[in-house]
Amino acid sequence: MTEEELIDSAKSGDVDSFNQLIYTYERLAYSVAHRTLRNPDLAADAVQNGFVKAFRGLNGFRGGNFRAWLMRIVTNCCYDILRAEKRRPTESLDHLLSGVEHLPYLTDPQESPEQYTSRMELGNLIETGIGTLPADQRVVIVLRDVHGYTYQEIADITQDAMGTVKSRLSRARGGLRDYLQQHSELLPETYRHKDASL
Amino acid sequence: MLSSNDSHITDEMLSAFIDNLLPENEHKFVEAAIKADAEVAWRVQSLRQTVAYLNELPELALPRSFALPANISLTESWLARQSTHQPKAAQLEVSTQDSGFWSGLRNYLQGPKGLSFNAMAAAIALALLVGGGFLYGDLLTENLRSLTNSAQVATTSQNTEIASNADANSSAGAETESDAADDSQDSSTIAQESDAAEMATSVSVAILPTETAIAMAATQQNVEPANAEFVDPAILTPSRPLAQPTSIPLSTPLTTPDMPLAQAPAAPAAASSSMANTVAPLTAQAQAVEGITDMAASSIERADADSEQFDSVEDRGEGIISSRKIDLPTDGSIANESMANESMETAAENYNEFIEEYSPTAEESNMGNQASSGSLESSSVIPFNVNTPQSAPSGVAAASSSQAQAAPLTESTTPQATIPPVELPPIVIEIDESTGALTGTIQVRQDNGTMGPLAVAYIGLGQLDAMTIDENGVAKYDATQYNESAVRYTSTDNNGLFIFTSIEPGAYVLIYNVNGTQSRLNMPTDIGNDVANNVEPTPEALVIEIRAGEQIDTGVLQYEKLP
Repeated sequence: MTEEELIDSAKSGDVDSFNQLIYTYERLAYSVAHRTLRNPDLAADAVQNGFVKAFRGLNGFRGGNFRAWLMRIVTNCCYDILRAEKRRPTESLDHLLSGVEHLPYLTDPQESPEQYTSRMELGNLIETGIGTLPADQRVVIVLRDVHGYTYQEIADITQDAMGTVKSRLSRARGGLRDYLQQHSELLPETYRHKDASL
Repeated sequence: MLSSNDSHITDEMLSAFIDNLLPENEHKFVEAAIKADAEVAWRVQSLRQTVAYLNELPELALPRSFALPANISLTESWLARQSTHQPKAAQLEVSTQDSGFWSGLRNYLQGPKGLSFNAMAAAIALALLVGGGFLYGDLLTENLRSLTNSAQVATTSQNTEIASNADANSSAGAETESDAADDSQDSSTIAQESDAAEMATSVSVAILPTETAIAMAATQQNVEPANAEFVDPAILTPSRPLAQPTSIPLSTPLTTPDMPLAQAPAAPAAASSSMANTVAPLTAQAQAVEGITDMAASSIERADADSEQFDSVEDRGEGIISSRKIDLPTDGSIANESMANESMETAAENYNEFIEEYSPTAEESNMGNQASSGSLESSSVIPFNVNTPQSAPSGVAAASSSQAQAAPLTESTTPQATIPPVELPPIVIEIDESTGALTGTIQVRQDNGTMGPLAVAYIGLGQLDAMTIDENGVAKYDATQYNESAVRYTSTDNNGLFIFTSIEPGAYVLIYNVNGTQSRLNMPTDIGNDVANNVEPTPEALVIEIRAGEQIDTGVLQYEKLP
């Protein structure tokens, strides 16, 4: 079945058809949610809530880019959680225990320990750097540079003007670059600025 | 932000430049600036490298499936089970036939009060160390005094039922008191040897008998002597057991992982349900009441002594807290000691409210007793009895009744607290007349050698479309002939349970989907009786026939290894 057929079937209440759509986009949705929320449990909640809301609101989908429509719902769920967390700040003990020393999803059994360590440090640095950005910039840079969304799709997802998307993306990239420069000892030589004061 | 000699070239322009989204004239302008100015060149290069790093970030592994359950009506409770951020007791939405006390108990424990009750456990644990011991001793003292008064009233009125109840409750109270004291002391010892988290856990167990005692006292006060007239004479025999209990020493935590703190209040229900049908000859009653009075008086003395011990425990607890740095959570769940004490008091108030609201009438007590005489499979396992909606209530009732008649009659001679068997309702899925439903549980051999649930897995249902009838009139299906693109999928829960509803009549196979690869589940070692009643499956294939208006429960499908 094509995506359109699955959507039509899901609109009539067929959960299985909707689940086929979920299988297609759940990894993407979780990745965006995780990197936006910086917490795997919150991300899972956001994705699950987003999918349920999408199923219930599927009749409101009038065609077009389903991926963008679905991701808009998930992203909005992320924003909802961020707002809630801002009102009720919490700190996960699990997060404190794991710290940033080990991100299991960055492991690759094919590489040497040295390569693993190097890549792990850089990967941690980038993930941490993404986490330092404001949430709206985080969403844009993850959608664009991690998952390859077009500017227009990002504008559809975030429901912002194209100019806003461009502006946020440039600030996010610049902010991440500046963050990485502050930890230039972990970066390749070519990436380091000739003037350390910059 | 990095500076540049070409200050009019912003990062926004460079960001659009590396994405080839600048207008042609601006694009050429930036290209020229890159050649002329090393700083601009570095800015572009660093942005490109940043984007490259982001492009190389690995895909995140999914923690679980996000597929929706086939029956979307289960969504809310299913979501609650799936939620990892705010864990909540798993609870299927089922059609239940019962009402009254047991329903009220369940609703209370599952409702906001129950949640708050559980949430307060941590606060209660901390509070107990500081002031709980003192409060605990006082409560026990008051409770036992109340029991003594009740027993004396029973003696005066010669009401045999109340006397029996007092016997059961007083005995339980005595056990509660002594074991609770032991638990509290144990908790204190453990607290000295373990970290703060372990200390809180052990103390939270110790608080349970206190709640039990509170509830028992409240229940006792709500039972009128006139209840005796509602008791069924047929079951008023001297050799009738006080209850058909599941005896649980109070030194044992009254919780299990699957049925935690919320189940503990079943203990007072035991006393109340046993009240209506427990009676003894008048002469025996008089002796029993005298003994009860003495026992209760003795218990009061012991409780007073325990209060002093708890004072000592309190001091030790304060010492422990002062000698340890306990970092309280930043969300303020346990903001300070006074909040913890307040939470403890609120929990007790809520509990008393519940008892007052849901204490059974005499009729309900009779009903509850009959129901509770049935077998308790396990306090932590919900029996998954799938029946047709028409037959389920009667079937369950018949089983309970027969088991009640066959229950051995024993006399409880030593004080003990009891938790009555709890008859949990069967899960009944509403189906229409034109379709069927399928449920089951899948287990697979785990790495440690034991059978464990196939949790959160994609399970599909593929309809077979080729059937032949052999010379004996037996239908045969080719289990390989199903439309892979039309397989319906659901996700098992943490217990390996799957549910399919609104299934068109026909023959089906179960499909196990791993990373998009479909594999048919073969015949397991143990399957339910309802599977393929008149269908002879092809070798190794598990074929399930779905009929209109019926629910099929495959039972537990156990596999040594899955595809």
